[in-house]
Amino acid sequence: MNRILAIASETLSEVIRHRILYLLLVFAAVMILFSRSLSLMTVGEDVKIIKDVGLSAINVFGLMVTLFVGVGILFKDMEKRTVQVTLSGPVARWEYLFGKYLGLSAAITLNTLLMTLLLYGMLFLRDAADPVLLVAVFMLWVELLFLTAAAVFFSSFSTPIFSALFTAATYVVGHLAWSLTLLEARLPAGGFASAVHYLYLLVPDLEYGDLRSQAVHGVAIQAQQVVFATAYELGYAGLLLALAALAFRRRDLV
Amino acid sequence: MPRPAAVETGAPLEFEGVRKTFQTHFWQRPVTSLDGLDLEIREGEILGLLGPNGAGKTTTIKLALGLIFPDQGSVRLMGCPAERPSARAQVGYLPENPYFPDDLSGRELIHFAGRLHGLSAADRRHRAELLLEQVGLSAAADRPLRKYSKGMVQRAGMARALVGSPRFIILDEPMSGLDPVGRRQFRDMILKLREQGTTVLFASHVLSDAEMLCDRVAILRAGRLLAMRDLGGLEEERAILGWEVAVMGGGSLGAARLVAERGEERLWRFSAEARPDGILSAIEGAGAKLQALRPQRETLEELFLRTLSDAEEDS
Repeated sequence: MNRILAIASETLSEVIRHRILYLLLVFAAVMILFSRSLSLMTVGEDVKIIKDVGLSAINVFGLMVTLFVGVGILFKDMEKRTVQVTLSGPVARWEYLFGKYLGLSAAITLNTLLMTLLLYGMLFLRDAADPVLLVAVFMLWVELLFLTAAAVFFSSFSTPIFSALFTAATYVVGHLAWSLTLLEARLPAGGFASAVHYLYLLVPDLEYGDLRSQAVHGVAIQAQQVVFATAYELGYAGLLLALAALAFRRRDLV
Repeated sequence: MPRPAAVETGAPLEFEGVRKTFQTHFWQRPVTSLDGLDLEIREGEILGLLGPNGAGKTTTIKLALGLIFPDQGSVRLMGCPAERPSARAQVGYLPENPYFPDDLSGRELIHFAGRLHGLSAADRRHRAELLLEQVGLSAAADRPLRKYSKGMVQRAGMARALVGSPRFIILDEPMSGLDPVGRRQFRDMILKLREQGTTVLFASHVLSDAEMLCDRVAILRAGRLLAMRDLGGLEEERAILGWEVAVMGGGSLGAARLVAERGEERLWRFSAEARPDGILSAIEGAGAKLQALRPQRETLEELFLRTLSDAEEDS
């Protein structure tokens, strides 16, 4: 465990020193601040606009940090062969991957916390600091933890460009997976409908845990949904990390 | 099949019939990097791994560290399969042209490696001070690695490799990027490690370094072990290129060529065909007084090139 934590803390400090992280944070901050200007164009909906844009910024920039910083750091480790130096010590390959994942997750957590603080600062000024929003932010954070696991999984056997593309594709497919249930309902019962059904079971449905609309529009959020969606996405993340460890176990590090 | 003998002897490194191929693209034929390599390193020795580019030196090192896996054969490190992390607990590694996270300082690099080796915070502090002092980086210990020169990164890499007090250390071109003073310091450090009982595997293109440091050398070519020689034994195997004779006074030594002269002291060179008894007779006949008689043997570099050339002719 000590080795995993050592790799995690080293990864976290590497992310914190990454310039792209700050660039993305500035963009996110600008976007959240800009939501105030957008809200001026609407009548009576200004708080909703701030909440909606703020949550979207947390989502989009969190995803970008995962794609650019997460995949980038794993790529750099492979490309510069730092991984070989780390693994030349008494470190198992799965410990390395889990350490990297924990470090990246800690960075994602910090990033999400900072953006959430900024959003709440804006809402506090409007006297609209709704604690329900935190549930939506929590679910966005869980989704980012899942996507980080996907980035680690793809990086364990693929090139960085493909890893970034596959991770982005996982995000898109995950948010469109619900449409497979619609497709299945429209298809005549049989082989193809079953195939669509099994495909839906295989693909993570990220839309299920996306509580942004409910939080922004004040629709009640069921605790059961939060618990289930968290277990579901983190379960997928665990599965991807296990598969990553399996794929990385016998990979030649040339 | 398990090989208990290796566990009993605890040989630092043992290759048995190791074959390794690499396939860059699925439509290309695999390239053979090692072809049935047998190699054993003895406890406490410095073994030089020599060979031209593409001979398989780095592949050998990566297999030893479990970074890549053999297609055939077995690799045992400290008596265990090389891919087992515990086998690497007592192994240090300095790669060729090492790269470390460049925002870390030299001290942080050592601390990070120490944590991976399970050292306590106090031990890490102690080891960092000691090792940075040994490699001459005390003054730059808190400077980020990106501000280090190539030679300084190499020194930091050496300190990192020694963090876990290894019983076996693998050095891939350790002298590259070092200035003459640094090379001397590294040579002294490597010799000191041997004195302390550490086994060293040393891959290098610089044969003079190998000649000064190694107990034995393994010469690789095209993934095969061409020769494995004790450097003491090697001395006997090197061809005699001539004889050098230092004398005091006397006249000409016949067929010998006068190389240097200082006062009464003269240095003569005889051809390789000359016999020592004939040389002694010539000295006596010239009325000179013998100071020294030594054979001029080919250097390790000449021997290395001759071994490669012989192998090429054989193949």
